[in-house]
Amino acid sequence: MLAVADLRFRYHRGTDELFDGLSHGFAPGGVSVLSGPSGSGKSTLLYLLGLLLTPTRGGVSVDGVDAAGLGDAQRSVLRARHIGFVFQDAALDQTRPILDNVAEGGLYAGMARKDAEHRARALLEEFGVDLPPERRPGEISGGQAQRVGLCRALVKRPRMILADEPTGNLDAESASVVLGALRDAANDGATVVISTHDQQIVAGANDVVSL
Amino acid sequence: MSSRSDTRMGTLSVVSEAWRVAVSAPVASGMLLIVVAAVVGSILATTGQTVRAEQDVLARIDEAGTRLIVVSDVDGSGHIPNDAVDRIAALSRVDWAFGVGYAVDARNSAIGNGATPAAVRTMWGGLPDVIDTNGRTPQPGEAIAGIVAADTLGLAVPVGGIDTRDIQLAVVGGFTASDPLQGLNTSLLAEPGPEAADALVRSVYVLAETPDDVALIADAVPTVLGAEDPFAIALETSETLADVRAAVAGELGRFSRSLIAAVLAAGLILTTLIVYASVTARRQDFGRRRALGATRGVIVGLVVTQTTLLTTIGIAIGTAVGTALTIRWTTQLPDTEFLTAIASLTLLASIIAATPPAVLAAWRDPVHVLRVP
Repeated sequence: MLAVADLRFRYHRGTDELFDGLSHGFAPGGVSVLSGPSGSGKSTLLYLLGLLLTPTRGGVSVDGVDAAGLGDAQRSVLRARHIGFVFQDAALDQTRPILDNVAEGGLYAGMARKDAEHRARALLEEFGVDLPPERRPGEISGGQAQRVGLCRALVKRPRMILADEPTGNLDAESASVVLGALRDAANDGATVVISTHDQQIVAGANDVVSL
Repeated sequence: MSSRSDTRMGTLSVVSEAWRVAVSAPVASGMLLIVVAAVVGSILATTGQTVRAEQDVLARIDEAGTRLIVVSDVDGSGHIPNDAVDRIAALSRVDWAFGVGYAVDARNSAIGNGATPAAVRTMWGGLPDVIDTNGRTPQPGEAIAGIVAADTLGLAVPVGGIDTRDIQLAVVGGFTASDPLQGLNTSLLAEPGPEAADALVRSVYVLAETPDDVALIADAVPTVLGAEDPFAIALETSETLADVRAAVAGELGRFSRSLIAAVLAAGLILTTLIVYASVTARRQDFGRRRALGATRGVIVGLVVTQTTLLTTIGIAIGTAVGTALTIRWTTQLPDTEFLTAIASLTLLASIIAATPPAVLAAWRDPVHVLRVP
């Protein structure tokens, strides 16, 4: 269970404060959507939930553990073990084969490289990335790149998945694959939080947070 | 939920990942390899030669007698017993001790009284390695002739008979003495017979194992000498030569150390710049890794391990090139201890150079680089 309580955040002194004391719980087994206009703080809230940012006031808790009391290393370990990120631009390492990119998602969680690569191959096949895994991200389409990013998030079987505009730049088929995978993960018990402008995704969500 | 240690990236995974990153960035990796190889190669090809030259110069100075102590009964009133030679040789830190008796004139028996005389001296202690002999080892009552003495006596080959005032001796071979006993080449050295059991020694040459041992041995020698009149004994050491040796060692050593320090410092700066440039170019890479769960420690470990791996390869290349150049220019192999020291220093310098950029990469805000405008 991911939750925020009395959440307020500002990037720098003098900038606008976001969230106005937001309190919300993101239940496992469902898809939660963060919606709102550009600049409303959708991505920022995802980074707060992913423990990459620290609230100015209020708190973020992961399975009842208040992240405010954790050091950077402990938050990193929590993130490595339990949280999978899907970035808007996939954020792949252009210099490494797609297999390495996917396997990387498991390394920081303590998975052996061999195991991570084995699972990565299975996920790439499952999500229709039927390309030689030695290919670099620069040699594949945007839709395939986002599927690779999705595989990277799923490789460690995370209990929480945070997706930042995951279908923003995708064709309909790739968007359908990505959303289907996120829905399947939720059905398997994961907490899935998506930030998006896409009203279709909003309409199909179990839970919507309007910012 | 807990932050268990088994969820952290293992050391082998860090090394494996660091190697893959190094391979995926051939330009930066290649530059680092070249810098490290150039540092090690240039140190070996320049300072390595200087160190070898220093060792040669010091060896020559040592040959010239830095380690030599000469104990002499100058006017014959000191009375040094011949067993003093063995007692001195038994002192610790003594390489060898060699004694000679008083000189007696000897003439070539084949020529007779008109022959030019040469000095014959009885010897005690084994022949030191600076006396190179030919012919057979003399037995009691036999002698070997120094290269100059043989010429003086008219011995075309150092074999024959010689007469002293009291006895006749057989010459069974010759010898050539080099520094510091070169002066003995004008003499014949006779193996003492039973009649010389109580003979006295004129001079004892003592070679210390190192120049630093000379003072200690010089202090110990009078206590084991057994001379009747210790005040009549002269003890000479080459203090001036020892001072020159220390000065030469100091100057050459200082020069070598300065050169090594300068090259290592240049290498350290270049390594820092290369790693910093590489880390700056990979801002997004580190931001992504942090978002995926890499701790700051893992990021520092990745950068430092990557640099260490490349430095190790660079050291191997530089050592091979430097050694080849040294052999080509001096026909000698670089000193193994020197090689090990340079490799260790270079590795240490690289780790130091990589640490600030690694820390910078680990503390960069991942959100700042991950946000899509």
